Order: sequence, then C-alpha cells, then structure tokens
Amino acid sequence: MLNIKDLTLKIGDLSLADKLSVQMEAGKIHVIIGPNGTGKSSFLRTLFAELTPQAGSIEFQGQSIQTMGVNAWRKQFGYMPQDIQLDVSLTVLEVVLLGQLDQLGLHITEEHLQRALRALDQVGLLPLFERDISTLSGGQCQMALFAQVLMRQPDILLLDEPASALDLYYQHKMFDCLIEDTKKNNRVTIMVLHDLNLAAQYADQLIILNQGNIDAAGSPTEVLTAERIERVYQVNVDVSHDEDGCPFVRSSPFIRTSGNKTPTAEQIKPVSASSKTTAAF
Amino acid sequence: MLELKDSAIAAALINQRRREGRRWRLLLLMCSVLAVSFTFDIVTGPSLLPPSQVVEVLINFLAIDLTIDESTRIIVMELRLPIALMAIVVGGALGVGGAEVQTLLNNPMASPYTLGMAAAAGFGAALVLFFEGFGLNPSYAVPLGAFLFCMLSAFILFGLALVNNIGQQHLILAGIALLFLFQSLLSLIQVIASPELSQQILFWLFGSLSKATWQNFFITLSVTAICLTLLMQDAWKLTALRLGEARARSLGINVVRLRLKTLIVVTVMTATATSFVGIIGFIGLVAPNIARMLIGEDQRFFLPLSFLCGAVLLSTASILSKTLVSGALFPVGIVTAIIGVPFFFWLIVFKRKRRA
Repeated sequence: MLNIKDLTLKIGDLSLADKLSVQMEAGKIHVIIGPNGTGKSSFLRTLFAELTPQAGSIEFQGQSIQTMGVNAWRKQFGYMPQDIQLDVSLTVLEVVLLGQLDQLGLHITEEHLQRALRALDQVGLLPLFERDISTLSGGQCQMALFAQVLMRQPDILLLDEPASALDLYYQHKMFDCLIEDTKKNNRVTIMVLHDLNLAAQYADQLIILNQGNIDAAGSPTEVLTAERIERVYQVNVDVSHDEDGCPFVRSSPFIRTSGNKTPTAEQIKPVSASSKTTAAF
Repeated sequence: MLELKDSAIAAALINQRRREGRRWRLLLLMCSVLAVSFTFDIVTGPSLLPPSQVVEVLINFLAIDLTIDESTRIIVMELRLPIALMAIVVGGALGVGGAEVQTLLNNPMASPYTLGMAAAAGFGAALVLFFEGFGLNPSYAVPLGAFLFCMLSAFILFGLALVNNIGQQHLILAGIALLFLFQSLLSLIQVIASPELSQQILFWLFGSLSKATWQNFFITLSVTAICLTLLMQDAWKLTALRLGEARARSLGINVVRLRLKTLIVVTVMTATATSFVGIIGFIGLVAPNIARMLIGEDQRFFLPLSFLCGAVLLSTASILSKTLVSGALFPVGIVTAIIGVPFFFWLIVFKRKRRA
C-alpha cells in the first residue's frame, strides 16, 4: 500500500500539488488523468524522489524516502518517463537488458539474456530483438521501454503516458501484460493516461487531477461523469456505459458535427460489450 | 506453443552470442591493423629500415636474444619505439576521451575539444613559454602548464556538472564558451609575444609526437590505463546514460555522480595526453563515431573500439607525417584530419546501417 498524505509541491509560483492525499493498493492499477500541465508527471516524479515536495508524506509499507534514503527508495520503483526519443546505436535487446542494470557484468550471463528475451516476447517484440532501437517506430520503441521497465521487477510501477504512441494491437498487448503482471506480482501500478476510455477500461482506481488538486478518486464509473469531465476539461462530453457499466466518453462536438455520415449519439448507445477495446480518439 | 516460444528464444540467444563473437573478432581485426601500422610507423623515418629487422628488434625486446645490428637497435629502441608507442596511447586516449564526452553530453558532435580542454591546454603551454618556464626546466614546465590549465577549465565544468538541473545542453554551451575564452587568451599572448616566441607557441599548438620520450610515454600509459579501467567499470551505466538522463535516473543511476566521475577521468586522461604532444584535434571527434558505426554503443565494445580506432588513426597519421614529403616531418596534428576526413566520409555514406 502506497500512502500519500497532504502532499504539497510547488515549482516557483506554480502549484502542482496542494495537500494531495490518496492511497494506492497493491495488485491494482491506478490511473491518473487530468488536463495538460496539471501536475500529473510531476506527481510521478515526486513519488520517484526526483522532485522534493514542500510538505506531506509518501509512505510505502510503512517506510518513507527519509527512512530509506533516496537510492534504496528508488530501487523499489520501475519508472518509465514520458519521453520516448531515443537516438542511440543500441539494439532492442541491449535497451531491454539495461533494465537489470545493477546485475550486469562485463559478460552477460545466459540467465540475464533469457530474461530480457522473455520480456521482449511478452510484449511481442521478440522478432525485432536485433534491430537498432533508433529504427523502430514510436510505438515499438515504447513497447521496448515497457519491456525494460518490467525487467526491473519493481514493487511500484510508474508509467508516464505509456500508450501515447501505441496502435490498437500494442495497446491491448501492453494493458493485458500490465493487468496480469500487476495481479501476479502484487505490484502497485500507477500510470498517467490521456485517453479517458483506455483509463476507464483498465483502471481499478481512477484519479482526476486538476490544478494540483484531486478532483475525484474512485472506480471509473464513479469518477467519469459528464458533469465532472466538462468542469475539469472545459469540453462538452457525452458519457455512455457499456453492458458491464464501463463508462465511455466522447466529446460532444464530434458527435454533433459528424452529421448524417456516422451514427448519431442515440444509435451508438448502448455500446456492446464486445467493442470494449475502443480505439483512442 | 510454449515449446515454439522457447525455441524462438533459444534461437535469439544463439544469434546474440554470434553477434558478440562478431564484435570480438572486429576488435581483434582492429588490433592486427594496429600492429601493422605500428610496425610501419617504426620502419618509416629519415633512414628506412627493413620491416623484418624492425620485427626482429621488437621480438628481441620482448625476450628472445637475436643478433641484431647495433645501429638499427638504437634507432628502433631509442628513437622510434617511444614515438610509435606514444602514437598508440595518445590516439587511444583521445578516442576514448571523445567517446565518453559524447556519451556524457548525449551528442555525437562533441569532443574534449568542444569542451575547451585543448584550448585551455594550449593557453597553459603558451603562458609557461611566455614566462620562460617560470624558472623551471621547460621540458617539464610546458606540459605541466598545459595540464594544469586543462584541469582548471574543467573544474568550471565539474562545478556545473554537479548542479542537478543543469542539463547536457548547458554543459555543451559552457564548454564552447570556455573554448572561446581560452582561445582569446591564447591569441592575446601570441600578439604580445616576440615573433620567435610566437613561433614556438605555434609549434606547440600543432601537436607533434616528436616530443615523446620513454619517460613521458610511461606516464601517459599509466594514467591512460588507470582511466580506462575506471571507465570500463561504469560500462553499463554509461551505456544507459545514452538513453537520456531522465531514463538513466529511472534505472537507478546517480546521474550527477556518474557525470562528475566520468568528466574527471576523461579530463585527466585527455589533459595528460595533450600536455605531452600538444593539440591533436579530430581524433576525439572521429574515432568514437567510427566505433559507433562499426559496433554500436554497448560500452563494453564501444569503449575498446574507440581506443583502437583512435590509436590506428594517430599511428597512420604518424606514418604519413613522415612520408608525405620525403625528408620533411609534418606535425602529426595537421595530418590527422587530412587522412581522417575521407575515411570518415566513406563510412558516413556506405556503412551507416551495417553494424557488427
């Protein structure tokens, strides 16, 4: 259990967290959504001890950064930063191997190689293992970095917009991996997403951040209401639910302007359960 | 299904081991190229020696007693061997220095030269020459001055590297600023110095291996060997650094400490090499780029290959500096770029995507 209490973070005049309190259970996926520039990435960086909060506490299994020291604290984390620009002459396998950095010697053992190859297989990139990472597409690169972060076997997984460049296939692959991995290894998985529908589908706990405050935290059905999204994002939306009660969000102008060519809002409600893997808009 | 997956992984594993084998063979190949250029570096000179005799002297030097012509022995052992060995060590040190500066700054266009290290060394040497060695023996005072000023300029960079939110771009900018500062100071000395002194300074600035002696070879060798060992220890961390500082931190690396340590090691190594032979540009830029194209940036191979590429480049340049115009000896610093650029262009055009 990751316990965050009264977290306050300011960079200059900008308030990125104002007395945030939230609890994150192990074995669950916690998704943070919110408008751009509202402090989602800074929140992850604060958890990883890259940014120092002005006030508040972060505790994991009763320990804090202060009691453990920064290095030991960070060892518990697998953190995948947002930026996926890689301009380096390394093969995909080499990039994934770096996930187990502290265990690598001048000779890579059979065991380490196998683990890296298995991780690549898990994310569907095994056929590309010898390719230069700089020749991969943005989405493939993101999957390789995802495999890298899985190699760390962390207690807490921090993913900053891990699916921003992924196509439908890889989205599915990544989130299936995440669900299985989080449950099996009892990890605390925390990620920032922009796609509300992806968030709705996969989050156990959905947290909306707005101007440094938690606007709401809870199950996707509780959190994703039209009224709240309109207030936070300042966009008119239409929220429907599929047969399982999973909310589905569309911005209203899209539906209104689509005219006769596409089905109207009434026609597409309710969304059937089989179309749960909705593409990102 | 599971078996199929396992066999795919097993096949990938074998492929990876083959790739490692290819890389080892490439390193070996480079070593033999170096051995050839080293031999010819000794063969060439005012009196051309037969390669077979040179090899005999070298073998004799290693242990076995052969009967050798005494004058040949003296030419090889006292005159040419220190220079040829110095070419290897200095070339290698500059190659590795460039490789690590590029890694550190995440920029393949950087080199110790970009960080103002060479300019600072040049200014240090000029200052000592200007003040006539401050009463010290000039053969020690000049290298010492070059070394001290190189370290001094680097200390400013060390300070900046210690600040957490100073990024790689800022370090490059600071380095270029230092480069201009020391170049101006150097010009200032040249302007106020007498024409003879100005000439002397100019000669130092054109790097030349003819200043090599057994003594300064052994100093350079020991410093380089220690620095290489220190860098190899961080091979994986340095590899990870090329994924960007944020990602390196996310992999648990203390980026500030790694940056400072590497910068110190590289500066000491480059400063030592530069202070004995003067400014030899281009190798620090080009050797790591050749290595990167041939073997990639897994530092376990990238680092040794950068060394070998630098060594081969300087050794070949040394041969050419003696043979381009018979009887004349050009400063090797001038020749490096002349031979390096065509080869480098060839690599850029033809070898980009085919790596071991």
